[in-house]
Amino acid sequence: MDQFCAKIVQSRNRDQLAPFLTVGETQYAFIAQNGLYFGCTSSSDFAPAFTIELLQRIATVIKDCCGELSEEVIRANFVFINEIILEICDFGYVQTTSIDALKPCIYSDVEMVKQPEGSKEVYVDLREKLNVVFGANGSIINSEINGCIEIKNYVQDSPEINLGLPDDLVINSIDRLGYDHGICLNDCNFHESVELDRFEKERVISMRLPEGEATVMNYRISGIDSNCCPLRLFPFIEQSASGNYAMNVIVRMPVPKATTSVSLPTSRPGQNLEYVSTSKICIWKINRIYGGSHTAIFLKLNSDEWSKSSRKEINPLSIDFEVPMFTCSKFRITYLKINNALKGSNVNRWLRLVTHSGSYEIRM
Amino acid sequence: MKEKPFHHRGEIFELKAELNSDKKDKKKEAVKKVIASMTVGKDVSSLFPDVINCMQTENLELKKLVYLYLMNYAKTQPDMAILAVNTFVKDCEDPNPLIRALAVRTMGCIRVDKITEYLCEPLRKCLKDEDPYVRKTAAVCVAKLHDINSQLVEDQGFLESLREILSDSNPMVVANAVASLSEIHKTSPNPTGVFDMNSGTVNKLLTALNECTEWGQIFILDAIAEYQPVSDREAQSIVERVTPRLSHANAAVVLSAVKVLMQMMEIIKNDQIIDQLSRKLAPTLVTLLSSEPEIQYVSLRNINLIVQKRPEILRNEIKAFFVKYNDPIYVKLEKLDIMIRLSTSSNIAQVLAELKEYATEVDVDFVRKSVRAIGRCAIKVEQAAEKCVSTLIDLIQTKVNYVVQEAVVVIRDIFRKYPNKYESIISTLCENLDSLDEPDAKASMIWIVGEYAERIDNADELLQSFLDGFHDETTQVQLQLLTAIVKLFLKRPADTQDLVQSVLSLVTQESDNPDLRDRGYIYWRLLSTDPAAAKEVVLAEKPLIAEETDLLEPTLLDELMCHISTLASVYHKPPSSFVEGNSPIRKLPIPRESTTSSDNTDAAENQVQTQQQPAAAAPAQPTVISTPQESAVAMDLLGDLASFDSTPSTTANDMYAPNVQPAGSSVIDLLSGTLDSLQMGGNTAGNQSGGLSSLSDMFSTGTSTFSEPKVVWLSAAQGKGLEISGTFSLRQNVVHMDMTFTNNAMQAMGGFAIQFNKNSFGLVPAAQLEVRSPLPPRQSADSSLQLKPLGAILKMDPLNKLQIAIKNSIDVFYFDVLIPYHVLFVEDGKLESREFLTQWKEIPNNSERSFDINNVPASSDAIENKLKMSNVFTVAKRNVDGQNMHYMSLKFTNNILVLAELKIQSGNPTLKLALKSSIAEVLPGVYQAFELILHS
Repeated sequence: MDQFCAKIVQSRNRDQLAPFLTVGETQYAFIAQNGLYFGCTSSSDFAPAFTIELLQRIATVIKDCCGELSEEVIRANFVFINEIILEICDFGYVQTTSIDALKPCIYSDVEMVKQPEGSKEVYVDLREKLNVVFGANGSIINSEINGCIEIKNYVQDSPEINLGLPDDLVINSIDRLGYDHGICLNDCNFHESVELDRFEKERVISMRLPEGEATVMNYRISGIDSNCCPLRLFPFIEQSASGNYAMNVIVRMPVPKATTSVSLPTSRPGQNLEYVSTSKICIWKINRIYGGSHTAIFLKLNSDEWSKSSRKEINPLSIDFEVPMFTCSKFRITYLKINNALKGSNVNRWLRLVTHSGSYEIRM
Repeated sequence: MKEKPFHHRGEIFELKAELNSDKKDKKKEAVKKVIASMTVGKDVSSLFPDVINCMQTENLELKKLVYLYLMNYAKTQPDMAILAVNTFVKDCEDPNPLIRALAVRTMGCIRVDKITEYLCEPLRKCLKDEDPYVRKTAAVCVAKLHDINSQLVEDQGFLESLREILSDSNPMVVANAVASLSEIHKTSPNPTGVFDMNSGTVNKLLTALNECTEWGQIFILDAIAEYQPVSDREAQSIVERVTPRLSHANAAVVLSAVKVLMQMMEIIKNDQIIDQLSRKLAPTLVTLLSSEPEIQYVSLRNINLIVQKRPEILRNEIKAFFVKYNDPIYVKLEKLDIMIRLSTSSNIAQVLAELKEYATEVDVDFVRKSVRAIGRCAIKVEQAAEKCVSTLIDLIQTKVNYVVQEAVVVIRDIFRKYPNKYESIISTLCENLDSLDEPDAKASMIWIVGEYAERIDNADELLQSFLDGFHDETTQVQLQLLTAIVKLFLKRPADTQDLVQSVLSLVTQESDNPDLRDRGYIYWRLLSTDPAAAKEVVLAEKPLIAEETDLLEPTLLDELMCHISTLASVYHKPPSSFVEGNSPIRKLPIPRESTTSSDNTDAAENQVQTQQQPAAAAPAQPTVISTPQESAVAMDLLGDLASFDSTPSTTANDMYAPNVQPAGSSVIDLLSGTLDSLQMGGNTAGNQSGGLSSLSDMFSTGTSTFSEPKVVWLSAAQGKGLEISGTFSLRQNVVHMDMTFTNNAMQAMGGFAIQFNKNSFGLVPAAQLEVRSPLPPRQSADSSLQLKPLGAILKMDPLNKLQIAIKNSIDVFYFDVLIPYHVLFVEDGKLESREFLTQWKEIPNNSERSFDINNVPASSDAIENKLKMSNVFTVAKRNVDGQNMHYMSLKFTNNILVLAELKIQSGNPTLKLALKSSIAEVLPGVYQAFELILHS
């Protein structure tokens, strides 16, 4: 353990550390979440994907049970966490990571740091992450949407949740027969409790979900139409989805190494520019861009000496953003039904949609 | 339970009181406090008896806490732990299944021998429990028990029970039984039969697969991956039932399923099914890249293997491996690797455009790898070579230092692959000469200049400019510079003579590096003796370089395919290389790979040995290493020699280098040689002792035995220029090894040392080898080494073989010599006549050998004298029928006694010799010695 900590502390760039290391005869695997390291050791040829999934799952379980993931929580619930890890792995064999299955075996008290947001609520989030690379001429070089449906379930006793998906949903383009107006997913995968048969037949995600947070479906669409991209940036940013707005837009622009300072001749409210001189990056923050509108920024880069290649150093630009109530792929959830075993109790249902940037890159 | 300042002793005392309280609530609170202290690492083991007392309770929470405590401390207090056994056994029969499971689980975690004895019965019951929760816990418990006492598990038939519950109705029980059996199979000392699968078991497992938890699915999939289907059809049905696992959200399940499918693809012959499967695998593998970076990294390492094995699967998915700007660096580097592997003539334009972008990024490592990748593309896809080259030229124009350097290195490779195609860019390269500061780049640039010297007008100037800073360069650059200048000279002899002269004298006279000096001398000789041959050698056509680089060995790749999703697939190393005691995997699903992982290591070790063996043997006589046993000895010797303290050779070389002249100026050479010896004579220890020994030689002629003339022991060819000739002699009853060291190399030698292998007579050097050091080229030095028979004894064949290792500043050399027997006869070998008689009778007749010695015209007395000088003593003699019978004795350094009867007939030059010794093997040698002595 000491050796492991020493290695982590030594490492120059902690976020960039590969998740495995070997010290002597011992193999270490670890993940970092919320500034906490979850690690485990083995002296055999373990399965790394397994281990990392497990570590992530343990982190989730702790978060679900204690309400939050922080050093404080871990300290306060040491006995509980110790007990729950013993239940999850018996002699290194993972038994279960489902909270419902674990609960009857746990007797320690939990000190909740934060109470869940009321009871009897089900939140469904449809989240899309856009990874796009634009070429210099505005064309899309590479694009991908990673979507997922996440459910936060605060109803006990595993209610049956049904999510209706569009009928025109097709999976894996090689199965597509002639028509192309539907939503075409390249691949998708599901939480283990999802009934795959029903999805295949009726395009319904049906499951009995234990309390807590879970990702019930992941999907991937590669190669999207350029009209779908919510934000465009040539020398300016434009938005094509009208009626919506993009929030917390951050444009990162590398500037030539020779740059000594950056000045902003015109300034608008709700925008600000930050220049990080150490990493030679301009960060332009825009709180909100409304659909159909465009905004511009003029930067003056000052330098004593410009070289031929300086122009090339302004590359690539990247944008971080978030567009609520919008999905790029037009993927949608047609209905959300919850059949609770306890009749008469009203379950509040919430459905959110959000698209945010994964890696949104514009090459100059 | 927040941490409080802990006043240890007081608190323990308080807890003790609370634990023994009558009130249940108070007891429980106390145990909680104890556990809280324990989990934060405080020592509460002193409360052991008090906590055990709380064990017998109906309260499940309290019981659980006590069990937690036991697991932690039982090992430190095994005797006390026994007290808990009864409660455990009772709990195993509790009506509450949770308690039964808890008891059996906890017992398994207590690694105390005495407790395991009591565990067997309850465990047996629990394996057949009506509740699946208990059964699944018991299944794991078998693995725990096996870890503590494998014999016990096998004797008690628990393996049998585990195999039975593979057909359990509850999938989680099946999964745990599978996990348990797999683990036992891996660690068991005799794994055969522990977990043999047949189609029946696989079928059961596949049924359970659909119903158990994700973690159970992983156990089952991993087990199936090690099963070898008997037929194509069976493999197909496995594929059919495993494929749905690919759409699981848990990446570990997906990877395990991928492993099974990849294995089955090896068996299925139907191309159509393979094709279908490939199309199903592709999107799954790509989707793995949308997960967290850690999972992406694992997936990429595995995909790297899959792409090498079956490139067709991901042929059309190259875009998925394009790098995102916010990927962590370890993901970026892996993606680059896969991009190159997937690049083909059809997608190369895209790949190249991407790589070009990457080459302008910020992260230096990533940029360098991208530039290298562009070079690899050029080498792999011929159509793209031109584009790659122009891209590289663009990059060089950016003048970013490390980009330029990396580009130069890859351009060299491109020139190797496509000779005489892209030389037009050389001028651009030359413009950037000044910015090169890394040895790799410099060496590459110099190579290019040398290779294309005829087309670069100012090649001589360029090389001259490098030569000016010669001393500051690394060896790599120096070597390259030497070769390049020689190439230039061969191509343009007219105006580059000075250049070649100066580089040759630089490397031969001012360099301390033997490689460089040797290469310099070789070129010098080649150029001065046969320029045509030099041309053939130096400008020979080079073999083309391979298309695809960095590929794994096919056997290693196949082995790693069996380990997809494990750490081995991330490290790209077989598990045996980083995990100790990993036994071979059960079945190898890939038929053509017949070796198991541990066999592989053995093979690898053998390989290492065979590699080392010739290295050790090569310089020595081939007979040195005739049997494996001996080779091991030779290795020992090698090891020992490595520990020689080496005389720093640099000083020696500095001293002599100015006097070294290439062939042709022998007059100066001679002169300098004599000068050297004059200079050195007074102060070198080696020389002094050499002188002394020759003095002693002169004075001791009377008392020393004769010695044979020196013969060559190590030829100059074997000794890299060092020739050693030598002989043995016996002076003042000490065995001497007299040697002449001749330096036929072009450089001075120093740091001589000697070592003997163990030998039949236990001879070891009595002193350090003293040779004049440094020994300048074409000089000889005599050295005499005293030997003593006090070393370790190893019987050699022939008996008098002595294996010698000589080390000098150049290398270590091995050779063996035969010690003449007569130098081994000791002075006190004379027996009393009575003793002689007794001995003669005692030695059985079958230890007697008779020999004829021809051509000894000398008289009986002369013979007696001659033999006596060599420590062969006449005990008695008598005259029978005109024959002189001499009865003689001699003794070896190792006290072997030899008796001889020598018949001398006056007038007849043939002598008859009968020899007797309790160790008859020495007799032929003794006979040879007689012959030698008498003919000397």
